[in-house]
Amino acid sequence: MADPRHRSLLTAAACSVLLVCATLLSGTTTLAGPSRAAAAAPGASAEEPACGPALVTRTLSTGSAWRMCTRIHPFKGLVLEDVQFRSATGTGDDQGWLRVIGSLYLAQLNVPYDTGTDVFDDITGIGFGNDRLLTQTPETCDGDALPVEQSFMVGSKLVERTIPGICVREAETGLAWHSQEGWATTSDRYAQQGRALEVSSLSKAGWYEYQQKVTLTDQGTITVGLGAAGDLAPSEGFFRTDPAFGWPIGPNEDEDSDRHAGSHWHNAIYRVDFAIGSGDQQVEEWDYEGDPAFPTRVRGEGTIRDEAFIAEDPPATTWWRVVNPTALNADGHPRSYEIVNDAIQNPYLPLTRPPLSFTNDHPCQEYASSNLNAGCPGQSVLDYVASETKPLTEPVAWVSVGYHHIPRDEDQSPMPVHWQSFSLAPRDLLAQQALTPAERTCDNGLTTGAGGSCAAINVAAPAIAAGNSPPGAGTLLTADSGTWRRARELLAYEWLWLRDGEPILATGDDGLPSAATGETYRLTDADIGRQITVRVTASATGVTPGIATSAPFVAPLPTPPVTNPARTAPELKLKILKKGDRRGRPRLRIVVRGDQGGGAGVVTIQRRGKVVTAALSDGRVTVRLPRPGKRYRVTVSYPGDQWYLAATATIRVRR
Amino acid sequence: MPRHLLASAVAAVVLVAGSLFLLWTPSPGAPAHGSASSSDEFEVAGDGTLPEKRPPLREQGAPLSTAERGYAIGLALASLPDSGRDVLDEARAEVLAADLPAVDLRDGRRRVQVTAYDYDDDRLHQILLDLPTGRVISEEALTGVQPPPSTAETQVALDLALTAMPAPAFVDQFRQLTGAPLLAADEVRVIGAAWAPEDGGGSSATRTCGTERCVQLLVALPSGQYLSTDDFVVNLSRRAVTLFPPGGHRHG
Repeated sequence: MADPRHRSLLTAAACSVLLVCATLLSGTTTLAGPSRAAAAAPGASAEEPACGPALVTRTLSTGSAWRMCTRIHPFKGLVLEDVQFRSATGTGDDQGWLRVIGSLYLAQLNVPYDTGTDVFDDITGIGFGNDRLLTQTPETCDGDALPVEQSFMVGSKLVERTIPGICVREAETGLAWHSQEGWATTSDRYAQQGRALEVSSLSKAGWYEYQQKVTLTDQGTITVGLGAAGDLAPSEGFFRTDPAFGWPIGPNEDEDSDRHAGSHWHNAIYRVDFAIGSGDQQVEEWDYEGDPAFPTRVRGEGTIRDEAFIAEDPPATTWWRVVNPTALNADGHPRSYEIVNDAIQNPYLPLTRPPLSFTNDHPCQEYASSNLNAGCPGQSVLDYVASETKPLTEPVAWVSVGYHHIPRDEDQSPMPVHWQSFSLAPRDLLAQQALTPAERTCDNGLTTGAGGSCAAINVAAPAIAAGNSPPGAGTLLTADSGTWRRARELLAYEWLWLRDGEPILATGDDGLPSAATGETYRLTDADIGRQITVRVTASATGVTPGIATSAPFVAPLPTPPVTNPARTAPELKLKILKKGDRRGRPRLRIVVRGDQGGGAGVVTIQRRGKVVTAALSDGRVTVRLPRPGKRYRVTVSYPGDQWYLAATATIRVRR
Repeated sequence: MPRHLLASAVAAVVLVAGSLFLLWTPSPGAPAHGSASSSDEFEVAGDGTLPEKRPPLREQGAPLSTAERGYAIGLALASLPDSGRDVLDEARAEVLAADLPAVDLRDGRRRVQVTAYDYDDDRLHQILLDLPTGRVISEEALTGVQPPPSTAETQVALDLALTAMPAPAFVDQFRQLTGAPLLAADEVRVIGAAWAPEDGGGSSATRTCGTERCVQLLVALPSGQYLSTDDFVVNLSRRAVTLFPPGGHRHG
């Protein structure tokens, strides 16, 4: 059901622009107004992140928006802090900026080759910043390449550079949502393409080059990906004879030759510090248990994990979310983010085997292993969990995302990017999805699945038809209602006629001004040559009203004679010929001539109140006049044609 | 090689006419776009000296400006013992990083965490600074933690490898591939990586790596072709190159 409080606000907002609100509101008409987001009371919006030039704020073309601080750390590479989301259509407490992530970065990239002889820690051993950061070019970034200011010491000298180092772009995500409850028709179909903000950087760590990419969708989902490219490890030292440790690359040679490119793992571990609203957060684990006697029956149970833990070999159905019990969405549900980690993990290392671990947020716990912070030197996630003594109220997730790279022929230079990723999916962050169209705003809770639109949505504008042609004063105009999406309730329509965009007022039987309403309207002199439109308001109980306006109808002014702006004055000559006709009646020669030759059309001859016309031929005509009993005057008028202006001449006729 | 010779060698290579020779030049000549500089090479900031006066400070979460970073490094080095030595054996610790600390350590203020390695006693120093006051908030020193090597450390390691006897395999490989001897560091490109043996592993020569500062090198021709560098590791603390036996494991 629509909120009646919202409805009254809508009505008042819309009426403020009309002259006749008092009249209209006295009936049952309700006019639609601004979007519901603007009309509803706003929720508390997070403060803007304080990071100056590193602040990235983007409103996607679908209306949702993200903002965050971005930078390149000398070792970690791309770091996002204070990540905030604003939905396109959230209302009430779901409006405005919602803080969701405190910080997010790649906390280790462990690369062991399957031979066991070579292991690289690309974050804590090599680093992704400083001169390992690669410059963004139009080939790598078709969005905005943000400048990254870098500096470090070389000997006693401080050196610096500023390069385009962070790529920010809007990307398509495909079909974002779809619903079609009307089986036989598409009139009930709701669908939209989705968009996402991508924030990425490129780093070179030896022969491998990595794209760190965070994709933030218009639905609030955050996907954290690591794309590996560059080149395979050099054959010297990394190509072996034993096929157990690699894959044959290149032309076939002797089976015993060193031609097997070394297989290896990319063991990425991310550190995610959640910041869903303010106050303590919790980690909730959901486990499911089947019933052997009733295999389709599955019972789920949620448990608050109040101590740091390592998710060791969890069932595939178990999942976790970070929830803030005091940050509620517009429906009163606690906001949370679910960790969706469908990646594989390297099962042979205690550090990488768990898909997920949780600790509290300790500043010294910066890296997932070989920790470089002096407060917890050399430690790993395993140590962090073991040493945690406090309840889990400031959760940091350590997400293990593995990729076992078994080289292929196709992986040779330049290596196609291969990806490993996990996602953070909003769960009850909002009362409804972030792009809920007006047609589905009332589809919340027990009304889920009901057919028909929650809002009056116009599909085809109303049309005006004239009762006669050509139209003029007195013509009866008739308007239809236009075409509207099927709504949950039968729509009722109100018509309001407008002249040049303003309501047409007339004096009613009571002597008071009243608006021209109804399906018909009769044109008056005041309407001729003006734009007449009709505004149709569609409404029903429980349906957000909608407005549609017709195309303008214009009753044309009388058509003026065709004029030639270059017309000139002709010479109108009148002459009584010396010789009358056989009966002695005088003959009048009329000549209309100018710079374009003889005039065309007719001349009008007036004499004593009588009018006759005569057609010109090559600009001349001779007419007979009555025999004069006494003198009289003849006036000849030429109305003009496309070349000549009008002219008049008079001549006296004597006896 | 004597330390003073190393220092002069690195200085000659690193600073050429005021411009930094890149250890690894990503995408040379690639056009930059956006509002950044058209060059992706590092250059000496001003005259290269560290600002002694506090520069204008950005918002607490903004990336450090060059001036802020330089100012913080100066404060950090001043707080360390005078006995400190960098990889060039100059009288200061080797600065490895200076960046924003974790959010919780900022306390809403402009703060910087500086990490530096002192070759005098093989200790890593981590100093938390408050830029508005210039005050040292905390300073910790420890052994056994080895962050990624600095540009100078990587360059020194390469110089040591080039002059090691017996020479690592990549020196001869360079000759085979190019037909000319590898005489100078600027004939190759290099990335350095901190190195330590797996727990309990390593030979007697490498077992101290981790406590001491060791680096492995990824060396490539200018064409991008990598050379074989898995047969040695450079101990910067000892200025020594250790060759692994054929088939030997570099880890574990």
